Amino acid sequence: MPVIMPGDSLNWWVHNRFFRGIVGFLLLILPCCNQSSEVNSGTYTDIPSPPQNPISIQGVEFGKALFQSNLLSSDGKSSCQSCHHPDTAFSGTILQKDSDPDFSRQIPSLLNLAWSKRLFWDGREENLESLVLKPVQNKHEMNLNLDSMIQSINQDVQLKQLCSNAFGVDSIGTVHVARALSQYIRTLVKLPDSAPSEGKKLFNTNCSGCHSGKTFSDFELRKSVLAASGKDSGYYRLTHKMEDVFVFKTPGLAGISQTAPYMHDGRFPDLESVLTSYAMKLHSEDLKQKKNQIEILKFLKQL
Amino acid sequence: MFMKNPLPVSIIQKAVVVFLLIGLFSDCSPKDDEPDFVTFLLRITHKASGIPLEANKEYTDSSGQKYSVNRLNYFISNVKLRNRETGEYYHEVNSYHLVNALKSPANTEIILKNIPRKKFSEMEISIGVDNSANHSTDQIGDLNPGNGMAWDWTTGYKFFEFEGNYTSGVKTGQFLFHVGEDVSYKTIAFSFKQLLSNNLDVVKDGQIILDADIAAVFGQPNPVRLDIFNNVMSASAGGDKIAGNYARGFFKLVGAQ
Repeated sequence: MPVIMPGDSLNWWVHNRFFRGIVGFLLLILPCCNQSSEVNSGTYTDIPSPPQNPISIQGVEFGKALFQSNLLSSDGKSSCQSCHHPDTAFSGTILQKDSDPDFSRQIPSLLNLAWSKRLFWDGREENLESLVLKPVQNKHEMNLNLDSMIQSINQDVQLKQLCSNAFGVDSIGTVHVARALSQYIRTLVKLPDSAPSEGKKLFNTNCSGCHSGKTFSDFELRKSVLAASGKDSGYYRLTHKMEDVFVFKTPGLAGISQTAPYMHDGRFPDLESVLTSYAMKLHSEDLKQKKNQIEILKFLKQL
Repeated sequence: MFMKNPLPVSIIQKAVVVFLLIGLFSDCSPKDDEPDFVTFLLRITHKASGIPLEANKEYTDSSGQKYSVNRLNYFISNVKLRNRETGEYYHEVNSYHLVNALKSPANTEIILKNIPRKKFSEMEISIGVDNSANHSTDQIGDLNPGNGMAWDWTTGYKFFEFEGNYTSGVKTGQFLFHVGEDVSYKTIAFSFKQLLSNNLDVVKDGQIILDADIAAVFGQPNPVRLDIFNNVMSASAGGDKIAGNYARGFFKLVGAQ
């Protein structure tokens, strides 16, 4: 019978298969306990990602540090997280001027973007790697040119170490920033699973034509019945086709109770207003009934 | 004892002699000592209405418009050499080159490596970024979005940035042509036979020289009057006209050796 001497104890812990199994399991599940909106499965195999930028633990760690870093703004006072805050399902509570100073848009939630075909409210970006550097450079947002960004973050020892861990390079390049941020954002996953209810039934009947699937959106571009008027013409700004005037991306609904104000222009302060407006525009007797609205609201707040 | 039916020694000796003779009488020309591949320099000389291009210098185009240039950047991609008769072919790998005509130092030379020592009848280049690379800026090298050629309003690249000032009649102002999107990707072929009266015989390192006259952008097939057409930020807002012009007359093959 082997005798475990004090000097051998560490060796035993490390080499005991049963103990390693428990530690491995705990390492996998513990991060999920802290961050309800973030999936840290350890392998991220269930999250779609492009072949040239597979999600890794080290990439996500570097991306998260960049997401929270003020070095990505010209005044050194704001980060991605300043607007896309975890407490509001990674959305913003204020309206933000976009590339066009003539109008403002609601700061959308970043949940489940791994499944989104096009990005931004007007669908003008095709993938996260191409998108993430735009708010950094936008003069109405972080207002930092990419040369300055690279210079600044390469002076940060911790970020350089994280980049080295993720990509095996000594110097951080633009491509590493774009890929790491994209990896992190893809892990911001919340796939609500709600119990059967009257609200769920009403939602499926009246809303799931567009807000479908596990992300509660097909993420298609379409002209909502609540289509806006005004200067923000949506996807038309990209295509210059009349049929694309006021076409916007259908948002996912995970964490919807935390993402007010609602619609691309933030015109509704609460979900009640959204439902009332849809009921009127859709001429839906279901949705017009107050008791049904209450049931749907209860359902939406579970997402 | 140890080998069944060993080859007779006389046969081995004869085979050795035959191999030696083959070696002695085979072609021992100097080409065998040269590498199979060479390097060419593609050099671009920028001009404005036939005069060497300088930043902020005034030029006059064929319609009498006066103009000066303060920015000229564009992508050349997918450089190919081919022989129409033999089908021999060279396609530069990962062929995306950002040309900065007026930056200091200017970036107007492209190094083409690993060209096979063959005869080629034509060269083909494209202005812009092809569809396979234009729908993501997750790229390195000259396509790095930090180089300032990524659009800020959509995914993809500006293919051609051309800015300056004009005087047209009594009107003066600035012009800005930023052209991109897949429809503006233009491929141009140049015949070595027209220039050299023969194929380009690639036997050693060499160079190919293109003249690039920016006045062509105001010319055919879509004449540009700068007093009424001076601002383009995409293909659909008139960029296709500019692309048609740079495809037609911007480049001219002037040397290959």
